[in-house]
Amino acid sequence: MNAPEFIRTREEGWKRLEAELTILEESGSKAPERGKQSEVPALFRQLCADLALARERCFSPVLIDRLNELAMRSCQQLYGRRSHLLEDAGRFLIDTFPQLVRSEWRIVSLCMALFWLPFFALLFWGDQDARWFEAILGSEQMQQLHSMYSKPDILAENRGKFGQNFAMFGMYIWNNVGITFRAFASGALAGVGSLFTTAFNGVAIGAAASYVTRNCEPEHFWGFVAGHSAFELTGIILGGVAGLRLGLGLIAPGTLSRPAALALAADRALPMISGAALLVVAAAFIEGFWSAQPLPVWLKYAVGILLWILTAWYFVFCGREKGARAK
Amino acid sequence: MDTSDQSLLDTRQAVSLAEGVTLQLLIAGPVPRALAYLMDLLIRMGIYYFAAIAFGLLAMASEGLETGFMLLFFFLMEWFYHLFFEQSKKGATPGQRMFGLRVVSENGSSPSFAQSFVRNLLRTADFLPIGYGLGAIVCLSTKRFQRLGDMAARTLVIHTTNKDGMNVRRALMPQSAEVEAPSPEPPNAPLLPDEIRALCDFEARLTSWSVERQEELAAHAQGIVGNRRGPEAVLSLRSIAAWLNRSRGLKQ
Repeated sequence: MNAPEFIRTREEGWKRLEAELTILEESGSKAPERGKQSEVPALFRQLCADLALARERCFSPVLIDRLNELAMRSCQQLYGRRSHLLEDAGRFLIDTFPQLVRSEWRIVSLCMALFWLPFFALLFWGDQDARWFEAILGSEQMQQLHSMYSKPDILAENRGKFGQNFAMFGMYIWNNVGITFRAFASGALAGVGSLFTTAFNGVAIGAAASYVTRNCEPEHFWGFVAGHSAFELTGIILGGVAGLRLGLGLIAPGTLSRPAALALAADRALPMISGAALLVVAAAFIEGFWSAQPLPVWLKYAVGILLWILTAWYFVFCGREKGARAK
Repeated sequence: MDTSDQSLLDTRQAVSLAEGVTLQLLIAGPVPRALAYLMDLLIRMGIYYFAAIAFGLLAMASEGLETGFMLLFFFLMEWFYHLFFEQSKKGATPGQRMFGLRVVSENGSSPSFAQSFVRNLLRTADFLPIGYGLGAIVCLSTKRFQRLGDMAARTLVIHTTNKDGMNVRRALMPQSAEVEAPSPEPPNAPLLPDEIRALCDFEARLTSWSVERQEELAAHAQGIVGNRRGPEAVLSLRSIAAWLNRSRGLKQ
């Protein structure tokens, strides 16, 4: 069969396939109409045979390119993009996420240490030398902390205005989820970015807490942060964990090539960063709508402690009975 | 998936399908991708500009809610603009569409949500130290022009064809007046598939080169042109291409 004859006999099938693909691409729907079976798979198989034949016989590159393009488009419509986002989300929150965090206990411990050691060191001994605050926070931020957490509780006053809670919620999403995403992404630089971000957060937050406790109204500060601290700090630390997992793919690829190891590491890191981002989003809700409310301090402390216990319980015990499923 | 077939003629790379056929993906290099990114950046800046005006007007009507909505909107635009368009039914951002690019999985299928999520989050790392410097270096040092995000998500950026079946990359090339094809002449020895493609591409792109460049390229095909040089070599290649186009069916 020569080329013109080949084209004459096959052209109709290609045109039909092209029309079907155009419909699929434009409607975006994958399921054929009820009671009608999609022609695409059969036409695609025929096309694959035609493409192989055209290549084998060295028909015109223009023709081969055209068939190749059609095969590629069919492939994009037939395969991939299968996601059951909502269905998976429940399972993820109940089982998979805490299992994953436990299975990464080495990296989790490392990042917790990186964050909490400088935090507590500064909190307890930060007043040894006042220049530490000056060096870490800078005079501008020290002034800002002063105005936020001193006598009249301006946090609660400001929030009285309509829409202010929501504005702060948007602010926390923009800022804190951004920080978490960056802690993750910078892990692709062989993990260095994640290590730095985590330790930096520990130092900066520790210094701020220590400074405010000694120089401003501690009850305003601790009452404000108590509610959202559990979710927010855990989320930011786990963002660093996800990034470090990614970086380890490059540092220690094992027997794989580095690109392959990076892709595998990303598979493991993806649920981790998603969970971390969800925690930070939850924290933003609390921080926006609860933390600054003019309520008694003991109530805020109680809720804060409760949420810390809940968080710890979640990561230690959730998904245990199906522990065998964790990789 | 098999990608061992390394063609040296262009950035085409082979991917084997379960259907028993090999797809050729035309991988896009850093330059069209950078242009597409800049176009998207312009679009995003335009959206920010008008959004800022719109939220400013809202501020006069409402009392504080607009700040929250604006921050949420900017957050979504900053982190999910690319993901949204890659997962939409068009499968590419406006900038990518303009330059005929598309993100696909390494096996040629559409990228999953997770893949788009990872490759776009890692833009932060590829962006460093400034203006996608690291991304460009990594891109140029991998076989398939993958930046870190592409490697982690197992994705490729490829050239697609536009509605007329014309490769957009080729459509963007300068086209001068059509030159008349010379009289067809069969080659004196059987040609390999790659050689046939090279000859047909040579004929198709001829008008986008200067005469000197045509002659320089023709001189590379020593097995065919032999000792001929200059216009003669070009002519001999073109007549074989004309013969191929006629007998192998259909120059479209």
